[in-house]
Amino acid sequence: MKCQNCGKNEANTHLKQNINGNISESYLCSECAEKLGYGGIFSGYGSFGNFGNLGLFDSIFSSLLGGSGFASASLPSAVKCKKCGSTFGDISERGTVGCADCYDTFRERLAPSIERIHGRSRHIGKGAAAKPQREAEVKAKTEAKPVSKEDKIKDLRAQMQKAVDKQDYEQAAVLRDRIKELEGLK
Amino acid sequence: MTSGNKWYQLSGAQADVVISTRVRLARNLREYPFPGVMTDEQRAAVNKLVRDAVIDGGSALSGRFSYIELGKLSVNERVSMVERHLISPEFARKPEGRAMLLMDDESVSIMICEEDHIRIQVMSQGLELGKVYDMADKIDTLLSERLSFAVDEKLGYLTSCPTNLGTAMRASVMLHLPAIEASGILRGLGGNIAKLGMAIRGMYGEGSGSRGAIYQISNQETLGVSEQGTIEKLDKVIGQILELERKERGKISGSDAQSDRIWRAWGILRSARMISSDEFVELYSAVRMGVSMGLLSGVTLDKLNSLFVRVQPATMICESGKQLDAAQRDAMRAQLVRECIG
Repeated sequence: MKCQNCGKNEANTHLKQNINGNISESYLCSECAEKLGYGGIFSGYGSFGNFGNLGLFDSIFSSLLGGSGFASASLPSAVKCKKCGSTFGDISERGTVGCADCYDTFRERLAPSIERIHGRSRHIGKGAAAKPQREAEVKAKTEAKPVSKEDKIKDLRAQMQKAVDKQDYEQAAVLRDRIKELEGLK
Repeated sequence: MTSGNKWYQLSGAQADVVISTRVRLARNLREYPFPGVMTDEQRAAVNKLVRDAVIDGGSALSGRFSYIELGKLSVNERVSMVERHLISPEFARKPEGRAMLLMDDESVSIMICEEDHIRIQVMSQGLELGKVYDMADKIDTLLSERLSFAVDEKLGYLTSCPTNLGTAMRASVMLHLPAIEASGILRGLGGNIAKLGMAIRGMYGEGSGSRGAIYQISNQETLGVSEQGTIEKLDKVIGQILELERKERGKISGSDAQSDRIWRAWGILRSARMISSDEFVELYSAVRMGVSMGLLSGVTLDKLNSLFVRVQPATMICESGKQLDAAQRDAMRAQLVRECIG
């Protein structure tokens, strides 16, 4: 397949972006990928490999491993993870964190990248707290039911109140923004 | 190992289009640095912890697993495991200090200290997403009773690469899509699949197109989605692709050009004395479609699935018990093919 940007070189970088659940995919050559700012491994997503063929996947991994994929790589890198000693620069360069604690140490700095990769920021699968409720919330959000805007806002307000009661201010803020957005559309 | 047939030697549900199903779960131990930065001592300790949790786990499954140190295998044995889809290429490449657990029927493999401490892999012939996930989930639960996994309330299972956060699950289905490929609608289809949070790839890697019209479709979303939801969504999409492939096959089934292509492939495979890997894959694809459509008889899809793995280079070398150069492999491949469908 040819690169979708220049149309000349063979594409070797498979790029997936998930922005608010809208997923776009493109196939680029390594030069264009670099030029467009997708040099880091986080913009690719092949870390699970495939059904088991030698060679091809590996070269893609290594081409993605160069450069830094983080939006906020300019932040000071003096802070080290207490457990594994990784700095944010190390993580950025490797494309992988050093240990479970890195996610705590660099939580805020990793958050934008994680949100960019996944388009979502909260786990609702196995082991998640209050899973059924969360799943119901997500379903309510994503399923396009023919509900009036007023009902939707009412529903979101109730959800926001629940989040506040649970002291889940982050979730409450997300809901507040959605309410504002809907009110703006009236 | 049991003497029965392995999943890759069988065909299962929707075998005319679906070759196999796989679910992979990534897990890490809270107390150890991730494989990318761990020391040899830590790696050995994690190998032992995971080994003990499975082998001495006291569950009905425990006795069915063997612990395999990769350093003790030859290069060919390791590559053959990749050809049988039991381990990743990356895992096979650096065997030092690496170990895995393999279930007797080879339907479950647990790679230790690959990119993550634990990668549970469950595989099956045919389309079996629900069953395969249930098995992976069961093994995960068993392990979690003995090991302390790194889980974050918000981010879910913590993984080396942030792309896998959340469920840390990748479910894939390997499909044979010759008619969709021939119809030229694959590209548009890929775009639609991507919009649903899934990806379709050629078996021979991204950006390389596909040979033999073998593709895999897998979920890409892991954070903010549930395992069950992911499996159901993937199952639904696969169902639609199956219908599409069958419809496209129906459209071309009467054509002389199509049947000529299939019969010629059949003729060459039954007669050739040397077949390269590339040539085999192309002809195999035509024959598999011919058998699925009832045009060819005398060979089952079971046998064809099994043949595909059997003629892979390292697997042939292991079977013959001696080193083979490319020409010798091509000759052995042709012979195995004739024995299978001759």
